[in-house]
Amino acid sequence: MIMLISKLTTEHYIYINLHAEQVITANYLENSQKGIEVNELNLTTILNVVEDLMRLPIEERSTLVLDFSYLAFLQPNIKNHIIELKKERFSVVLLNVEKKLIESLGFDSIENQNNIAVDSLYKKFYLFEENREDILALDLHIDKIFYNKFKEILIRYKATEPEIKHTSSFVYISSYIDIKKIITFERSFILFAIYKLALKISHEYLRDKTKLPKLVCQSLNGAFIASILSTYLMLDVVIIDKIGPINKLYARPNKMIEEDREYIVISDLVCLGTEVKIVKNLIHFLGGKYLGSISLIKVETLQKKDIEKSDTTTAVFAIRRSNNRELGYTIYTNLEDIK
Amino acid sequence: MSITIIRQGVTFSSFEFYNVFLREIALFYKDNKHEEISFSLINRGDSDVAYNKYRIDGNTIPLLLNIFEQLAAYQKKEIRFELQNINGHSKYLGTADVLSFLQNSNFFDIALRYGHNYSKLNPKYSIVNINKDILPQKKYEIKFEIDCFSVTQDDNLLEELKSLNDEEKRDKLVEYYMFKVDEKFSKLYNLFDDNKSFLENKTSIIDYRKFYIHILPELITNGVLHSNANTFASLYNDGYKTKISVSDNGIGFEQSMIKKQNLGFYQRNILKEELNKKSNFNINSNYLVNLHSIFEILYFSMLKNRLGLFDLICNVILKLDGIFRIHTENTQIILSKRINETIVNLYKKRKEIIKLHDEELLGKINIDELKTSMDVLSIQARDLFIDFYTEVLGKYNKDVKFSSIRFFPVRFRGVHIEVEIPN
Repeated sequence: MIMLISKLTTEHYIYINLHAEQVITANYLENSQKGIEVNELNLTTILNVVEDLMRLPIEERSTLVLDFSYLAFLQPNIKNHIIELKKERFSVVLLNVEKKLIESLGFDSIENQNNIAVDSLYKKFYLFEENREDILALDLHIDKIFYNKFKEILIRYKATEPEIKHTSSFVYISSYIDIKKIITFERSFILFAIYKLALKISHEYLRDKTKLPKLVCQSLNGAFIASILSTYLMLDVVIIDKIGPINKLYARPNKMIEEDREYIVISDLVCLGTEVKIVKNLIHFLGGKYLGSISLIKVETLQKKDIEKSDTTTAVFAIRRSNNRELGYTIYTNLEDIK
Repeated sequence: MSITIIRQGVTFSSFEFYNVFLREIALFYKDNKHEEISFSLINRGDSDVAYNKYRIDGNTIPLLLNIFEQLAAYQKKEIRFELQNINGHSKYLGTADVLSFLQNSNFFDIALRYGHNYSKLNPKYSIVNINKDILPQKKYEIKFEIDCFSVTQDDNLLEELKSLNDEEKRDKLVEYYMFKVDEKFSKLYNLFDDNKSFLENKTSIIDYRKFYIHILPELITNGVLHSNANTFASLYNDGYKTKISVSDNGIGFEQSMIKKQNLGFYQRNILKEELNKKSNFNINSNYLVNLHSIFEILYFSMLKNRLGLFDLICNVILKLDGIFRIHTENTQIILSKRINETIVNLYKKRKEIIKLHDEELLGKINIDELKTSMDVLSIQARDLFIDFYTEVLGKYNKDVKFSSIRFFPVRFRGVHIEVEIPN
């Protein structure tokens, strides 16, 4: 059975990101070695989407949101499969779809006054002609849906023990986020989260780079994330095993860090950033250049105004003042009692 | 005596292949039916570098591999091929470039069935017998690549295709060859890649850097699926233009049309019958039958609810300012902006047809409404093709040299397509 990595199910609709699915098809099923730079939607991807959705009982089929972000080309003759979904009782909404794609799919004959292209892009394209107020009113802020799903998973997999001692920094944490468990049981979602992380890295670090940086990881979870990022971004990985929570180096970093080469440090969760700082110093000490820190989850312990740019970690989920209580995640010390 | 491929001072082009080379092969077999045929790369020794220049057009490499394969299958053994590389002032001066070009383009790997990609091709034995010792070292060539494609190369693919109907097979193969083509040919375009342009979502549908990923898989699929044969495809890119050449040794248009089903609005051979009525030109029917089969296949492709050869041709000419040459048996048609008005009219009709199919697919009209409208459109499309045919043959009768059609003295099995696009 083929799994979809980007399928997010909400109360009102199902969301699927076709580019994320295409990245999996191209890199894992077809070995295309183009990472996230694939920009063509192929037959296999759309067939996988159809196969997955057809498992849903007819009475549960309602609105389907297909995101076309980053897709510039379509394999010819795949439109039948998209229309098949419409025939199978899904009310289909396309997001971020190029006008040229709509024309090449022949969907421009659909008359819906809400289908309005801005420049060359339809932010939303309704694949039906009826006036569906319920669908028009849907909140299609996918980042929010993604955030909620991530939060729900973090709550589900948190382990609460009294006085968990943070091993690399001298603080206590109220709960332990079991990333290994999340990777094991929520694998498809984590692959999507890492895909989103790869897009962020590409935007923030890889534009106009002539010499590509390398990814450095310093834990088992970090190695898992880095290996997938390396496929998505076609970057080499250096594994320094391992810094924190048990601070012991098994490999010799001086053999791995090249002078004047740029490095991005990959982590699963950056809490206080101690391990990142150790790796950053190691890279600098050995002549390399530290480019930045990337993590699936980060904890924002400072106010935004007090965070220095060079110390910022790029992450797809941030634990911060607005959500830490809900997540049951608190950092404390012995200086005062915790309620 | 060997048949020469490249004559001194004459570029070995597709035209030379069809007009001179094939004729010499035919003459050989006429006089020596049971003899073994053999070839030599050049017609003179190359020691006298100051006077000898040997040039080969990359578009002919698929044709050469194709003919060698056909002859090897006929003789049931490899074909003797003398590279005749005489050591000149330093070494191999006159033909060094040609040999290096053939070596870097994979010509010898395919012909010798060298490497895992080619060992599963039929016939399994080498199709040429050469002196491998004089082959130059392989170098990284970034302007030209050739590859051979066959469903026999991948057992998993063969297995997968078994359970699919014709349309599903075609879609599967197009996808399969999209990845293969990208893997094989994209390196020819790395120099011109716009770094990270994908992030802006701005790449146009027909982007010159990507069009080969749409053109080649379609043509390769036509070759391997319809003709059940090995298909040779080459790509040349010098930064200013791209040349694509695809040649198969399959059953050809005439036979493949016999296999086609009537599609309700398409009746087999109906255009041909009309063209026969118009054929009061002074042209041998042996030629016209193949010209008619090209028109018939284009007409069929134009009426379909799926994108195919006809759409590809329109895109190449109208959107990319390119040239499309189709050769089958002994006939070639050249489609380009020189017949712009005809292509524009045909494309307009095609758009009406595809719009109608889309409306049916989207449930805006029912199948009966589609059929009624298609009955009208298919006649209009047929009339456009008849006008096109009359115009093309009329021009041929007036001036062969500037005509869009060419007739060659010897039949060559299969279909050969050449595409030329300015970058």
